[in-house]
Amino acid sequence: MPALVVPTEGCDLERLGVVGSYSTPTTFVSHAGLANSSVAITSPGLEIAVIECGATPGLVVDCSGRMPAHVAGSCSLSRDEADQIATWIEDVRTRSPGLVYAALPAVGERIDDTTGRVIARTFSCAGFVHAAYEEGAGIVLLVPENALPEVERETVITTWAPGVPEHLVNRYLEKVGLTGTGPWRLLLPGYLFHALRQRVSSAGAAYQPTSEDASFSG
Amino acid sequence: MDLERAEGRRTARRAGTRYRVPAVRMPHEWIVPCTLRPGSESHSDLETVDRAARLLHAIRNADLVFSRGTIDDANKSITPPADQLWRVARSASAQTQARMEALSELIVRVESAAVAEFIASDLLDAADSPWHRGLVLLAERVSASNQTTRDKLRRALLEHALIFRDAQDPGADPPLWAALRRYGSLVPIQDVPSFLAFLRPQDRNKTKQTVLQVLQNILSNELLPNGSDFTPLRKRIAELAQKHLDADLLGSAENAAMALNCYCTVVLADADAEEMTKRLLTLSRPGLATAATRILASARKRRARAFDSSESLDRVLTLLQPPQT
Repeated sequence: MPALVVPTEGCDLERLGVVGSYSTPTTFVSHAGLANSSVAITSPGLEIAVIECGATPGLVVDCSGRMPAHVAGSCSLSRDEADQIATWIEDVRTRSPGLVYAALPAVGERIDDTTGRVIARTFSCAGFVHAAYEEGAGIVLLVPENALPEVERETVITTWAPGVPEHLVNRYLEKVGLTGTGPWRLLLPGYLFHALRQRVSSAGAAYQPTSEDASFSG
Repeated sequence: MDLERAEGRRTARRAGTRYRVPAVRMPHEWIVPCTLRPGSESHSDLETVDRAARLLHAIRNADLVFSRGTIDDANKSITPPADQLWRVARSASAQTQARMEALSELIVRVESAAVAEFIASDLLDAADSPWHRGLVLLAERVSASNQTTRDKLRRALLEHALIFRDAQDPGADPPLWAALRRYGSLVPIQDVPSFLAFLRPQDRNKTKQTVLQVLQNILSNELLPNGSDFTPLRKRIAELAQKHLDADLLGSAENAAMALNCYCTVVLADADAEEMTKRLLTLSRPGLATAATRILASARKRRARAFDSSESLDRVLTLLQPPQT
């Protein structure tokens, strides 16, 4: 199962497989996480236990989160690869800050300006998943962040804040690192599923997403 | 209706019970869900409640919501002036959550230096309360360039880290780790041995792991000086590495992460680095060696920017290279 929309009859997902939630009623993927154990997703939208980033107040990396599974993907991790990703997660749990969540950059560092020392690492939800695979197991799903397509403000709103009034959207976007009017080179959760889907045919090459890949409909 | 009630409804739905959420005058916290589908039936739509709860999580995380009020109030003005925010932050009678939200808002409004001074001053009161824990968490978000503020913040963070270390509830862990991380970004290199107070045998592994990571962050920019003042720290780091780099202990991800951090810190502190590298390589855990190489190579890049010499680290990175086939 490289990546698919969870069918009505359900599907199985491996431990540390990738889970996505839709920004319903669209097929834009608004959130991504990792299944914290092998799981049977018995129906679309079933809430499953995940390791996720940014969905829990006061806890940037949450190893006991829950999210609705609308889409799912895997690259058939070997046991070693899964163990390496799990080790990476345990390492990052104490490197990431308690309160700072950022969508941009997808993977970043907070640095003290005076000493130049790293204070903590920050991740967006999709950045966390991507880094877990890349840094943990050497599986590079996507091209580097600076080669990602620019995402228009409208796409960001449809993905993360549909229907929210303009003045609230601006403030929300600023707080997650999206200043100005866009576009921004964002790592959107939907890209992960396109990357997983094409992984078999591309012999593991990093996927170059397009602007349409915010949405994943199978 | 509050988030907890919404969560309750989600739980109920999972259990197979259907609820309808009445369209009522929403409090400010519901400003986002209220406006998801203006004018539609969405207030009574369970999907919307579900989505709203998730959005609220995200938005609360981003500290968007500031004050209690109604949606009408909120739509009129959601950006109180800075002096009003400071009034809330300074008001000991205000709720901790509201005070925290006011400070978060001030950080975003580029008043980070003033917030840093406020946090440093308030933390001089060495106590453990939700307010103090919240301030310590916020300390990771503020920039402080004024040396007096930095010194005050550093002392206060160390003092609170010691308090949280000895607290009995697991809720003290996130602020403890945050205090250690932020303290580690401020502490002068000569005071680095102060971390020994968190590497005691009775300290929890995740606390030790945090300290080891903080040491990695420091030692990626500066070398640990030689001299007797630093011998106990080096000795303790080497001792931890000796214990944790053990094949019998690497069955869990937690232990593997601890072993990884012990090893990387040993190398960066130049505390028996080559001996521990041989030990790591005999574990036949290529994944662990790969992860260590990633962390150490990143440290090497930083060191290259800060100073020229990093011979010991270079030697270790060479040893870690997989054999050419």
